[in-house]
Amino acid sequence: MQPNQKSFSKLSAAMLLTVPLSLPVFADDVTINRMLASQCSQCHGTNGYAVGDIDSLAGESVREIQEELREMQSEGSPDDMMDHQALGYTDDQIRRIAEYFAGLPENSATDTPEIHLSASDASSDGNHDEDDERDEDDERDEDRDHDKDWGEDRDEDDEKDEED
Amino acid sequence: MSISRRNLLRVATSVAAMSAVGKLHSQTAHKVVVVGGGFAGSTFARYLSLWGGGKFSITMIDPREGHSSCVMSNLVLTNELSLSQLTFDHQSLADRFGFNTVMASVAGIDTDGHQVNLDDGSSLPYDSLVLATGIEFEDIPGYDASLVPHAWIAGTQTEQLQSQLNSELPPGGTVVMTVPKAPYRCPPGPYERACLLAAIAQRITNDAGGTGVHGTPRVVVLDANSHIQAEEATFTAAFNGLYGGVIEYVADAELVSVDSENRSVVTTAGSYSSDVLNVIPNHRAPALLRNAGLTAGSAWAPVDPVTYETRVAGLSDIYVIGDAQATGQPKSAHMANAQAKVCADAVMRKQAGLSTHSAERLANVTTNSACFSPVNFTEAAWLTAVFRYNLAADAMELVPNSLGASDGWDRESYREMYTWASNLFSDTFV
Repeated sequence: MQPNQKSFSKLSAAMLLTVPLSLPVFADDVTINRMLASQCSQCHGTNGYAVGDIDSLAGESVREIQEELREMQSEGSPDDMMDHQALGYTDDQIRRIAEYFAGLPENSATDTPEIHLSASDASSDGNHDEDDERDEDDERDEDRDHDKDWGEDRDEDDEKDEED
Repeated sequence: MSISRRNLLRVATSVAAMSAVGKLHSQTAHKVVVVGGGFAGSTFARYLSLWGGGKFSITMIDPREGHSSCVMSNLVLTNELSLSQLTFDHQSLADRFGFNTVMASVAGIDTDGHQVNLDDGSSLPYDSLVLATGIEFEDIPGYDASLVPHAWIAGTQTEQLQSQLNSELPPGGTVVMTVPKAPYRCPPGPYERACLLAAIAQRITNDAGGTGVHGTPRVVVLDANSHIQAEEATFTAAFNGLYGGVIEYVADAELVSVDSENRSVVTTAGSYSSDVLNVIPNHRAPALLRNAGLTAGSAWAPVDPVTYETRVAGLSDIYVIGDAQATGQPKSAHMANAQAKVCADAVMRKQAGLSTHSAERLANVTTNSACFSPVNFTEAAWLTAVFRYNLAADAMELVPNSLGASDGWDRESYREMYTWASNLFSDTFV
């Protein structure tokens, strides 16, 4: 129990040091922000690493996420799913969500398998045999190789490895 | 890299690290037993493994090898998807995240002894028990699901209805379906199904020469409720416009009995015969929960909406997430996933001796719902909402203005539906 609480307070101290523009009176409990932000993951992927053609939130800046959500909130006649979702959160909740995702590296360091469901698969045996999974992994690796931010992300991942 | 970034990374425990840590179950690890490997149970086990810091020994019990998703399963009926594409193996998830699985049915819960008894006579002790069982159906006189599929718990039932539609629905034929009394799982689901049954019936008729030869097919929707329960404008427009002359919607038609051999039903609004019959009986929490006293004599299990721990006096360390609980939030896969994360945080916190009811946490307990409903083979509608904890009411409440639905249906939403499902499945099952 002790180490856990200790690391929470360490986190809180870190937040105070590095987020001066949105400094809360009391530092956030980061695990609460994590719980709140995880509610985005049904659509935006675990820890904000989305599958397919939907925004990944991990590694976006705090300002980016806040501005996007505020813009959606101010749509006169909300006609998009996210316009309505954005109206579900307070300014403070949006700040917490933004800070949580901004604190994550833009690319996941881990190799979490993803499910890519598509109608064209209907005639196959499904997406769970090993060959299919390998094909999907290869495709993803290819995507990463072509990502112009690859170098930057690699650096972050390396730093994380050192940290661990 | 800033200090906060490093520390946040430490909190954002990687999947790979967790599968290693999760294997190191010490004798003193907090034992968590999860009953059910659907959207609620799988998400819970997955997220407690991610967030639990290796302090938990998690065992997920399910009678099946994998979970077949109800989400998207109406597209198995249309032959667009196969059930195997929607079936997710429990053991692969458990191996990746470092928890245990047991393939068994739970016969009973020994709430005093803090253990669950399995159907093979063995038992599993728990420090925390998470019940993610989903629903069971109320008994209907004459109803035999092996003859008349409900296809409302996905799996062989889905394939059975698909097979009946493919081989036993004649051109110009009649499908009858029943809509259960609310609350039931997936509020727009029955109406989405009605649309797709109509599309299938039209396709069969058109492929065989059209309505001029065979007459117009019929889909009779017998709703136990007084009106359409979700996306009413959308589905009213679909029933009257897109499927005008095909879908016949009957409100206040409560199911009385079923003749399963002859595929006919008796309801409070009359009797109906069909070529293919799809009966979805009313729902309730499974007998496992009712027998353990967890429903307090009602249909669903009352829980604290910020932890999902039972509110039944005298019972402790038992949590109910997903469709079987009574918080009044919509019963859906997306919501089950949402609730599982709130519950995982609560279990993590309680084990660590941290408050689950601090002002800061109560102000940030939210869940949300988002879903897409295909209305034909190429177009879909959507529905979304956010829920938050209201301290005064001690309940989850819909956030004003967050409730939204599409204006009709379109092709873009159909494409987005696949992306949504891919992400929801990925955040739950792999």
